[in-house]
Amino acid sequence: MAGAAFRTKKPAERRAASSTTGRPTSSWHSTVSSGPNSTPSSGNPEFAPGAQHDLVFAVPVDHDQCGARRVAVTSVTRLLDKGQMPDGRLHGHAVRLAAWCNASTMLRESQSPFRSIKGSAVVHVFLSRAAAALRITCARGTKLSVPLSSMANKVRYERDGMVEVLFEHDGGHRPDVPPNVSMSPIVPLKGVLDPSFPSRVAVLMRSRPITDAASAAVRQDWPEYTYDVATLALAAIEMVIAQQGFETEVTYEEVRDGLTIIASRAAANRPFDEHARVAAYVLDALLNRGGREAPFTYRISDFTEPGTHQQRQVQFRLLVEREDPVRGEVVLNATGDAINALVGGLEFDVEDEQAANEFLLERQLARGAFDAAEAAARKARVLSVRLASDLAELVKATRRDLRSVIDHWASSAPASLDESLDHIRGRIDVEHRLLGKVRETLTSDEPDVATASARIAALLDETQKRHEHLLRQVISARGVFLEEQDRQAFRPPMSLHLPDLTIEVFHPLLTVPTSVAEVITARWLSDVSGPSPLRLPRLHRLVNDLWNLRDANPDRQADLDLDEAGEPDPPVLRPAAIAAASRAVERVGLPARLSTLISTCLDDESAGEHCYQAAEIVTLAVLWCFAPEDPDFAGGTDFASRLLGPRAVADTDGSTLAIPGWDGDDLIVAQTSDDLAAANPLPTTRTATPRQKDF
Amino acid sequence: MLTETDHTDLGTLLAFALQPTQRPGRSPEYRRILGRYRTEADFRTATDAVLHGLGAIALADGEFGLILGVDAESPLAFRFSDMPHTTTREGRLLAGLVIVGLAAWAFPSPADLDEERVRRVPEIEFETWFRQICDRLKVRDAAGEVIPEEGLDQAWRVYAALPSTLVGDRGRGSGRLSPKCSLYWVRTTLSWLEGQGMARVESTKKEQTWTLTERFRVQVRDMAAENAYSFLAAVARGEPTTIGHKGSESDKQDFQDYEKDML
Repeated sequence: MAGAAFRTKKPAERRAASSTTGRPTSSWHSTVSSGPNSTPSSGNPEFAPGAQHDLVFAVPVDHDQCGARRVAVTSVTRLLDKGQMPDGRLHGHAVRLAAWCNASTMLRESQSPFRSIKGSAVVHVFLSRAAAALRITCARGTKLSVPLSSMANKVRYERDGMVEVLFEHDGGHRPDVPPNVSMSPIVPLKGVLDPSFPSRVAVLMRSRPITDAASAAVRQDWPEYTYDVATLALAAIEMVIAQQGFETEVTYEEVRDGLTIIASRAAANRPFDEHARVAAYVLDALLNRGGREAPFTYRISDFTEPGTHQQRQVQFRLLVEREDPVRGEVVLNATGDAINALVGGLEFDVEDEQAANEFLLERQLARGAFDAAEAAARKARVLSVRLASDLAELVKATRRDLRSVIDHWASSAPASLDESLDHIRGRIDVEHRLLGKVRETLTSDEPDVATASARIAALLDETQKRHEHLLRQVISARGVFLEEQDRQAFRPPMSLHLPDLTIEVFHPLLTVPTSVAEVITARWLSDVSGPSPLRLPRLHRLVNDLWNLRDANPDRQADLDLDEAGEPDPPVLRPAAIAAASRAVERVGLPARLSTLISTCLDDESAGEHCYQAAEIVTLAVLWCFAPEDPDFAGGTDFASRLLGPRAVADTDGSTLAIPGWDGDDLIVAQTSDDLAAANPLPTTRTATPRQKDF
Repeated sequence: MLTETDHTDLGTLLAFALQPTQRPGRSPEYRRILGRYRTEADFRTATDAVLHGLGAIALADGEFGLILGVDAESPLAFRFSDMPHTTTREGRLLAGLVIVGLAAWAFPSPADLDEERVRRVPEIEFETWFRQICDRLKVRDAAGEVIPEEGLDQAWRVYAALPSTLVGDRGRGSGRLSPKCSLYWVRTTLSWLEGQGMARVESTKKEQTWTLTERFRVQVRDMAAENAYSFLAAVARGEPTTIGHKGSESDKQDFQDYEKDML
C-alpha cells in the first residue's frame, strides 16, 4: 500500500489523473534530480532511508491575488515505512514536520524548518529516523509523495513540460548540508534577478491592504459575498482624489456616507446600519485604523545581487487624515501610493503618461468611443492629482527644512519645474480643445452619448481647473525656494536628533521618582502648551463676579468632581415649606393679595416651624411673576409656575402690606392677565405674627 | 526703519499667535501680516527680537499660523497652576504623565514626529495601552516586591494605583467619572489640550475618540521632546541637569536631593 502511495507520478500521469477526478490541480509537477545533468527520477545512491539527512528542495509559490503570499507547500510529512519502524507500528503520517502556509509568518521564525525566498520556499528537513518517503502537500490540494530511495537533494518542478529550476546555488557546499548530500548549481531564473524586480513586487504590495481587508471581511457580522470590499475601497480612494487639492477636500464622514450609499445599492435588502458599518470598515482598513494608522508594512525578497538574498521592507499609506488649516476640519488625502494603486501602473513619468492619455482620449472621442474616453478622462484626473501631490511634497519639504531637499533643488528640481510648467500649459490647451470637442456632442440625439459627453465634460472641466491651480503652484514653487533660502539662512539649524519618545522619554519618565517626574512633566507642559498670555483682573468685573451667583454651567461641574463624594447637600428649600406654600395658594385661590397668602402660610399650623419659610417662598414666587430678574434663569420660572400656575402674573395697585415684619406693595397675583385685570381681592391685615423662636 | 504701522502689525501678529485657535486661513488680516513676517526681513527680525525679549521663539509660520514656543522662565510660560483640576500634587503628576504618554502614543518613532498628519486617540484604548506599560514595570514575586533604596515612589505607580474607570455614585459627582480613576485624567487632559487647540474630540458610540492636531506635533517635536530627552539622559548619566524648575519650593528641594543622591 505504502509503495503505491509513495510512487511519484510522472507529469503525464498526473495530468491524466487530475482530469479524470475533475479536481482543480496545480500545474506544477515534481520531478527529482541529483545534479545539473541528471535526468528526472534518476535516483540518488547516496540518499538512503534510515540515515540522517538534511534535505534542501525548492518548491513553488502559489501566487494569489495579493502577491506571493502562499507557498505551495502547506505541509511536509515524513512517512515511515511499516517494515522499518523499530516497534513495528504502522504510522503512515508519524511525524508532521510542519503545516504552514504564510510566508510572512515564517520569515520571522528563525527556528522554522522553512526558509522562504520570494517565489519559492526552501525546506530543510532533518531526518533522524527511518523514513521511506516525504509527502508534500501543496496549497491547491495537490499531494506529492516522494520516495526517498529515489530522492535527490532537491526536487524540481515541471510546468507544462518545461523544467524550471528555481534557484542558483553559489557552487560552494552549504555548511548546513552534510557532505553526503550533493548540492547542484542551478541555472538562475532571470526574472528574479532583474534589477527592477523588487520595485515591481513593491508596487504589487500596494494593493495588499485592500485584498487583506476583503479577506478579513468574511469575519465581519454581515453575510459573506454580500459586499465587494475591493470595489468599495477603490471607490473611496476615487472619492478622495476627486476633491483632493481643492478647497473642499472630503472628510471621513463624507466618504463614509458615500460608501454607505454604494453599499446600500449592493444589498438593498440589508439594514441601513449594516451599510454604514461596511462603509466604515472599508475606510478604516484604508486608513489602517486597526494598526493605529501606522503605515502598512510588508517584507519582500530581493535576489538582484547574484547568489544572495536580502529582505526589503515596503512601507506605505493609502489614505491619511490631515488637518485642513482653513476649515479646521480633519480631511482625507490619498497618498502617491494610493494614486499609483488606483491608476494601476508601475512607476512612470506622469507627464508622459498624461500626454499619452490625452492623445488616447482625443482618438477615442474622434471615433466615438465614449466609454473608453470617459475612462481616459478619469485617468487624466488621477494623474493631475499625483503631479500636484509630488509638487506639494517638494514645497512642504522646502519650507520645513531646505537642507533636506537642497540637493534636489541643485540638480533636477529647476529643470523639472520648467518641464512641468510647459507640460501643464500644454495640457490646459489640449483640455480646452478636447472640452470644445466634447461639448459638440452634448446635444447628441443619442441619450447614452449625451450622458457620457456630459460626464467627460465635467471631468475635463475639473482637470482643467486642477491644472490651472497647479500652474500657479509651479510658478510660485521657485519663489518658495528663494524665499526659504533667505529665511532659513540665519535660522538656527533644526535639531537633527529626534528622540524616540517611547523608549527614550516615556519609559524612563515612568521609572524616575515622582519628585523628578513632576519637574519633567511641568517643563513638558510648558513646552507643549506654548504661550499663555497673562490675564490681569479688571476691578469692576471682579466685583461683579463676586456678587454673581455660583456658575451653574454643567461644563464646570468637572471642577466639582474633585470634591469627595459624600452626603448630598441639604436642599435650600425644605420640602415641608414648599408643601405649606402650595397649601396656602390652594386654600386662598387666585386672584389673591400677597398679604392674604403670607397670612395663610403663617397661620398654617401643620407647617410648624416651616411657616415662615413657606411665606417667603410665596412672596418670592409672586415677586418673580411681577418682575423676573433673569429670564435666562429657568429655575425661578419653573418654581413660580409650579406654585402659582404657568401663566401667573402679578401687579400692584399701590396698597402696602400691613403685616408686622413685612414691607412693600401688597401685590395682586392672578393666574392670567385677564383675571388680573378684573381682580380686586381684599387685603389681609395682621397685628401680630407667630414668633419664630416659638418654633 | 519700521514705521508705526509696522509696529501695529507686529503687535497684531503676536496677538494672533497668542490665540491658538486662530488660523490665517480664516482671517485675511492674519494671513496678510503672517505673509509680511514670512517675506519681509526687517519685519521678521523685529518680530523675532520682540519674541526673544518675551522668552519666546517662532516654531512654525506655515498655514497653521505663527506657532510659538516659550522658554520655561518666560512670563508667557504655561504653568500647572494655570491648568484646571490640578490642585493636588498627584493630579499634576497624572496630568503630566498623560500628556507625555499621549506624545509617545501619537509618535511611536522619531520619523513620526516629522510626519504631518493628525493622530487619533481613542481614550479607552490609550488608557489600556498606558496601563499595560505600567503592568510591565511591575515586579512579580510571590514573596512580595523588594523595596528599592529610593522607595516605591516611581512615577508609574501613581498611575497604576488608580483603577481604570470609577464612576461616582453619590453627591454631585454621581454618574460622572471620578478623579480617582485614570480615565478621568486621560479625558481631562485631552479636554485641556482641546482648549489649547491641540486636540479635537470626535465622539463615537463606543468611546470618545480624539485627534491630536498639527500644533501638538510641532510643539512636541520642536520644544518638548528634546528638552525631556536631554534631561532624562542627564539623570541617567548622573549628571547635573539644566532644566528649568517650576515646581514648588518643596519640589525643588526634592529634586535637588535626588540629584545629590545620583551624584
